[in-house]
Amino acid sequence: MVVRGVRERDAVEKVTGQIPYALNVTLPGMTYARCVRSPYAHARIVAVDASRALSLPGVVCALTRDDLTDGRLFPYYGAAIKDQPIVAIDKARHVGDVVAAVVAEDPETAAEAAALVDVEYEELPAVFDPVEALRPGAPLVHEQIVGHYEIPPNPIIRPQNGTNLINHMKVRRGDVERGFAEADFVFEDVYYSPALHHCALEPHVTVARWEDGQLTVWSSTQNPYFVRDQLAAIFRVPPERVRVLVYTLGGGYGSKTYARMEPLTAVLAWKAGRPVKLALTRAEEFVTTTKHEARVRIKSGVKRDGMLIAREVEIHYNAGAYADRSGTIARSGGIGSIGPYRIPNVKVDAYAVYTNRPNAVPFRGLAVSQVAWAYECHTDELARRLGRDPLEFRLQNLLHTGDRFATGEELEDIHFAELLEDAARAIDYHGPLPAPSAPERQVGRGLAVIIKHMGSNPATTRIDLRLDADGALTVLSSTVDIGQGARAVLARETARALDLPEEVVQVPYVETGTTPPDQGTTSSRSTFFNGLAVRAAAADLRRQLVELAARLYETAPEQVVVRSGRVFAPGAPAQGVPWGELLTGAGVASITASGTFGTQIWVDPETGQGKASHHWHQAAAGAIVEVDRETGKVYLRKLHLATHAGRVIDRPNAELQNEGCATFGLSQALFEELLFDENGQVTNPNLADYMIPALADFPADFSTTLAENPEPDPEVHGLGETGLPAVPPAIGNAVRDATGVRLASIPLLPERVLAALEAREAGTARTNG
Amino acid sequence: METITLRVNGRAHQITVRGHQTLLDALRDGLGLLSVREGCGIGVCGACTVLIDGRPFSACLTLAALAEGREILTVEGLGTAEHLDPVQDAFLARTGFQCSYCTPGIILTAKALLDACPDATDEELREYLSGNLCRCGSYVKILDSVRTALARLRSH
Repeated sequence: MVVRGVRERDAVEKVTGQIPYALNVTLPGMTYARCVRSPYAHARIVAVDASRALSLPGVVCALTRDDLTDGRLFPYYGAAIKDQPIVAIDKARHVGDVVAAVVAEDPETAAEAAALVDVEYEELPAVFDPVEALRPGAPLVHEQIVGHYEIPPNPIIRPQNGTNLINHMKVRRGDVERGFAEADFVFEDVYYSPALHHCALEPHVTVARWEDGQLTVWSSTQNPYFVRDQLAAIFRVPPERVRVLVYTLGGGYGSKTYARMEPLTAVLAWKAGRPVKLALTRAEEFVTTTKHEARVRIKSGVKRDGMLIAREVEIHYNAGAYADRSGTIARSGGIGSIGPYRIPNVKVDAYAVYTNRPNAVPFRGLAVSQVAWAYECHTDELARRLGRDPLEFRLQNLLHTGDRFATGEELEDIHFAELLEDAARAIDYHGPLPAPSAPERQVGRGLAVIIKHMGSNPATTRIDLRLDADGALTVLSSTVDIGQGARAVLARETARALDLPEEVVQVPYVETGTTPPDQGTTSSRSTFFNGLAVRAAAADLRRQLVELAARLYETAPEQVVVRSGRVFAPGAPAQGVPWGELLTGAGVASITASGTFGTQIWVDPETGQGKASHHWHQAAAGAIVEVDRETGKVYLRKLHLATHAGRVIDRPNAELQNEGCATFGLSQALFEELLFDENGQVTNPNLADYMIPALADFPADFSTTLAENPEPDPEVHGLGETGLPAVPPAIGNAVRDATGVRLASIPLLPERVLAALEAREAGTARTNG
Repeated sequence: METITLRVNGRAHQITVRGHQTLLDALRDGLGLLSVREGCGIGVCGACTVLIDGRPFSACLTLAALAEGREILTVEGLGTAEHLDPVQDAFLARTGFQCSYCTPGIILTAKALLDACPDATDEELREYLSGNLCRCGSYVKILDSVRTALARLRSH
């Protein structure tokens, strides 16, 4: 077969197993690293002695805190607050915290040597719950934050010394007390989302090599430029001395954001004087990245006619031992907790709190899935308490284009009602309930609709287009292909912007030495940002081609036309000149055009007022479930997920994003939960005990909508995370509909559902008796 | 250390292994077959699936020495970019993957199923393929890919 274009080439490499991952990187003289990890959740490190490990044949070197405290290196890194040491310096802050590392000729020797590093600990009282961690007198995870750690300027993140508070985000709009006073009904609920693990099948893998004062790092990272800059700071070298190469990632979902194992691996390579590879074990993965556990208290005031007039929300996000992006998670979740509803009086307090749990980092559906579970269950309960239909109640209160959001910003391009009605249609919401497939089962239907920000910061993307004299067109981008098909989309959007066949466009892998700066492949931002940066770069390329042709053919630039890979100009051949020939004729080897797209967003952390997102991601889900009264098991019979796409660029890949969000969402609703013992140790750090869904768990009846705007060139909306937050509450609401029982915590495990059913039976019996 | 002969993708390879070495390590590190990937390491996720005498096995749980004398197939031996196997071609046609870390294992499992059971029903496909986890959640299109391969197989 003839293989053409980036999309097909990548696809062929995928089905033949030849697509490259960081895991495949092997270098001459390469050595292997293994971490030494704390068995305690919170402990002062009294002594670290690697001498027994170093005496093992095949061991190259060991890294302890002594290597970090002599001033040669800057020993900390972190996404917002540089609070994470390369290996523990004074304390271990969670079970699994890295306290030392060893390098050996082979992975087995490295593992053996790691067990021979002697660490003396003095155990300290630990705190695991974010609410407890904010109480006066709670153990401090970090004794001092401000004035001790480097905190790059960030007006949003406001940690407080002497507490475990990383950030307190406030939203204040209208007068919430007056709103509650004027309400005819006020209802308050508490909802809970557990810690989770990302579970990318490819673990975190980094290979680092120092050569002639240059550091080269191959890594499975979603943020190559961020990694580059953090490494440069650690080694106190200019960023140009660090090169980060990224191939395809074997899954990310947020776990490979910012810097993870790159600082340690690079420092090990520096100390070993040899290339070092570090690939985490599956068990290590579970203590390296987790999703924020969250407790959400939500209170709403409603008028007799069903209008929402006040909402107060208090959120505690469990950030774990290091801040990472938790500050912005409090911000995004705080703002997102109002939901897609028009509510004039709002008060939100969102806290991100240090604890002695493993690090919580961005996770697909960032910050919003926890609050959406709360507000969409709560919305359902509000409707039921008012005797209203949950769909109608939602439709009455949904935001529309032109409304103001809780941030005060005027909303554009809003489609919540259409998406929700689409989901309702898909589950035949107004029709009769389907019959249960067994007599002991009860059937129910549920809906949910959500709003999600795009990106969490002002962000910038640059795209370079390089045209060579042989006619090859190369897109240089630092967007990472995590499986979403980013490279294929770049090729397609470039071809579209330049009116070229897609097959002629090349997209090399990320290498920070040649591909231009990018904020990172996070926040469902890449397709949108890249599309606009590509257009700007394409305009620049056309301009350069016009200038070149005008010079070559000695004509005015206005006389030159650039179309379909050719230039047309008076004096040039009538059929036009291919771009490559134009370059050759002008004696130019190549030209590079650049395009940049950036967004500016800003909210006041004291009031949440401002502009929180360039545009808003929108989704709705509908679910039909059967609940077995005897076992408590929930069977998902039908799931529909509708997202606003604006414009679909690559339909199969766009559908795959919704299908992936549906899989993650149903898994969070029904299966997944990271479990800890009382000492803060993860008790299910493997795929036998931590359940991720298989094909048989995915509903046979699944459908999805990618809503597009009718106008000719609508704005593209990212889909990577958009649909996820709608799915768990749609399932939770369906279980409520089927059973009459509301479960406040996910996952809806059979034993929990059964206990809730039995508790209700007991309650009913008492009432009747 | 001992030298064993592994028959992989139709060719015999002399390889030196330690007694406890897994087939996964032998194929990946010893023979450079990078389609064989560790996921969970405990035989749950199916990412390291290879066919041994036509049946799917987790290479992470199989000792290399015990695979001697048997016919081992990885996707490298199933098809190449120039000559894809019909199952690979169906996954290509239906975009039955995202990050594709799990894809070689799923394709081999599907291959074994189609060879053994060309009349498989949808329910049987869903059940049989549930030993291979796709964290990206590409299940709709994985099932569609296998259905497509099955339909093409039946029409020939």
